[in-house]
Amino acid sequence: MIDRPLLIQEIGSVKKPEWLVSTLKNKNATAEQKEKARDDAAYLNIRMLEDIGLDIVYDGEARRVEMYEYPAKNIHGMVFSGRVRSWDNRYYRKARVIDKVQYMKCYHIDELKFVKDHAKKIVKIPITGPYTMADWSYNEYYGTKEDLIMGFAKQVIRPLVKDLVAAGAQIVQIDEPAATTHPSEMKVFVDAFNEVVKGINAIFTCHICYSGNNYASLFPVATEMKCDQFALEFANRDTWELGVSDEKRIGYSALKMFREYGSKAGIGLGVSDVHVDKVEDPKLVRDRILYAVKVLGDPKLVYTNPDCGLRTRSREIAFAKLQAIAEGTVMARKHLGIPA
Amino acid sequence: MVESRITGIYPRSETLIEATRRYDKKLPELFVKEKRKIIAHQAKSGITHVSDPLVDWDDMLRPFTENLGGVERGPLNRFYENNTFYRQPIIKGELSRKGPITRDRIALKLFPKGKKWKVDLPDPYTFADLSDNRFYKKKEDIVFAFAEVLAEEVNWLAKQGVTSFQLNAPSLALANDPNTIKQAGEAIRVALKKSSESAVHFYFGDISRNIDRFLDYTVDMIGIDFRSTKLERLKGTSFTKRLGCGYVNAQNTKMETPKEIADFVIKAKEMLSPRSIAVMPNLDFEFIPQPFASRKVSNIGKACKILEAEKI
Repeated sequence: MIDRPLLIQEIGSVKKPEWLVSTLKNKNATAEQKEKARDDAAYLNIRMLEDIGLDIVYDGEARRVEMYEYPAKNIHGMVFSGRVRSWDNRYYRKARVIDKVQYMKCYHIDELKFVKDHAKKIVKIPITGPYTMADWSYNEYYGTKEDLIMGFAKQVIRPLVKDLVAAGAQIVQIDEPAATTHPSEMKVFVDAFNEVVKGINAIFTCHICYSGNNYASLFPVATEMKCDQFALEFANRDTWELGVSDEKRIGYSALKMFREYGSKAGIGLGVSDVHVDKVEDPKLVRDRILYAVKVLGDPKLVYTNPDCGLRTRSREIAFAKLQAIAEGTVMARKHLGIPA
Repeated sequence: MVESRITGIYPRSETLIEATRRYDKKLPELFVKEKRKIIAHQAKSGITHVSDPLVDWDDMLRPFTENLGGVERGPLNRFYENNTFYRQPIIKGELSRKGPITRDRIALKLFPKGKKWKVDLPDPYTFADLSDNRFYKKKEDIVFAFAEVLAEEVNWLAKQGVTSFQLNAPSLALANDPNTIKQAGEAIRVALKKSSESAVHFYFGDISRNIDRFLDYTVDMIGIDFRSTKLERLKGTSFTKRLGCGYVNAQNTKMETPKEIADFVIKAKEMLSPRSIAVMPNLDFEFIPQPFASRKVSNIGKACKILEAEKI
């Protein structure tokens, strides 16, 4: 991984500005005007993230509808069926797989080029992984789910990653929020991940969140993954009290498994709950980081980030949370004697 | 007439999804309108046990999470092995019922005359299993405390004219400890003591290993998710109760034909010889968009007609 401790990163999405949404919905707006609006939003997000103090950035996924819908629109063999609830009033469009899935074009190439042209910090591109694409789709074509997962890995996501790396991507975050959904399917999840990245010269991270069993099903298979960093959600399950004891930091108990299994991968430490508006006190962020460093034993293994993408929060709240992460990380660095 | 029923939470229409997302001021009216439409579709399709589609329930526990004394709304947690999340109830005090919990959440006025009215509720063990206990000494204490709450609710609903109760028990389908299963059964007996017709539906787990234990429960019907429990694994079971035959897949848009459904029911009847059979989906339809769910409901009704024609 990158040889600097406690780097600050985001996970992916932030809410689109109202003016972007209005422009995209405006039937009178031209394609050029819409593209200009997307560029403006992406540029604004990059500047905001860098100004806040993040070390690793992207564009807040300003051009994407949603992490599943956007790729699904660009993959042969998928048709949308309608919306399905994720929680409460939150829904996502779910597609049916009705034919062999096939890569049609590099659907993230334009945004990657734009970010590379405008970002001053390290760039990390998030993409949706094969397991999640399969798990969130209705399989009406393949004989087994395993066949569908490996179909996505071989026929879609690997060619996509190859094209992105050829275009200059150095860090690729493979989003697999569904990874731990079915503990009995962990082997095929790992096989699919390794199939995507094998032999490709880049840093690969994996984002997983809202595990039903506190990431227990990641082990021991996680040690077989060709993954440089696991970016995980923790804050959602933690207390809001200050302190670095096991009791105060109950949400971070899964870190011990990484240590016990001898994982060498970095941890993208979710230090901000993306499902509440309450903004974390930077001191709380600091304590969460110090606890992780205490458990993992090496600050170079720890990266700081929100639990997940921040698109469900207003832009004001999202940037306030990122600010708290940045301030808390600076406090943790200072506490540990790490130069800024 | 071959019995049929829908289970749990039904998907919202695109119109209602949009209304909920913009927190439409008319949302209460829109929920009622949607429920009326879905209940009418159940009746038109020939579903014998009509149930509230629960489109205003954000998860299967939510009315209890928000209205029970001693419970606070907790973090989002994954709902079993799905890309669906629920608010975890945090139990911080003794469970207490302040009044009818489902009064505004079950549209009793919409139930059609001439049909059996069914109400779906979470089973006590499932409620306890999905909660974060910060008050009771043991999980079984929550199970029985919730069973008492449910008993009061069932009693109230029965007085309003509800004749059939179905407790949905995914956590119990995944349980393995014989003592836990036995205690959960006792809690279900407590909860349903005022129910004239009772069912427990097991889904998300293979119950073949424990089927004999579940058949000891004091309920009229055992519902089985046949996507998780293979019928063949129940071979040799002395099925002493009515069978809720959950064959129609509520998690995939792929459409079963009425004949395919009827053929499976016939196979299940031949293999298990239950007292009678109710045709149903394997679990809540909320995992597929409403147009697909509606077609599947119609196909359940058509399958029942095939079975009736063959005098099954």
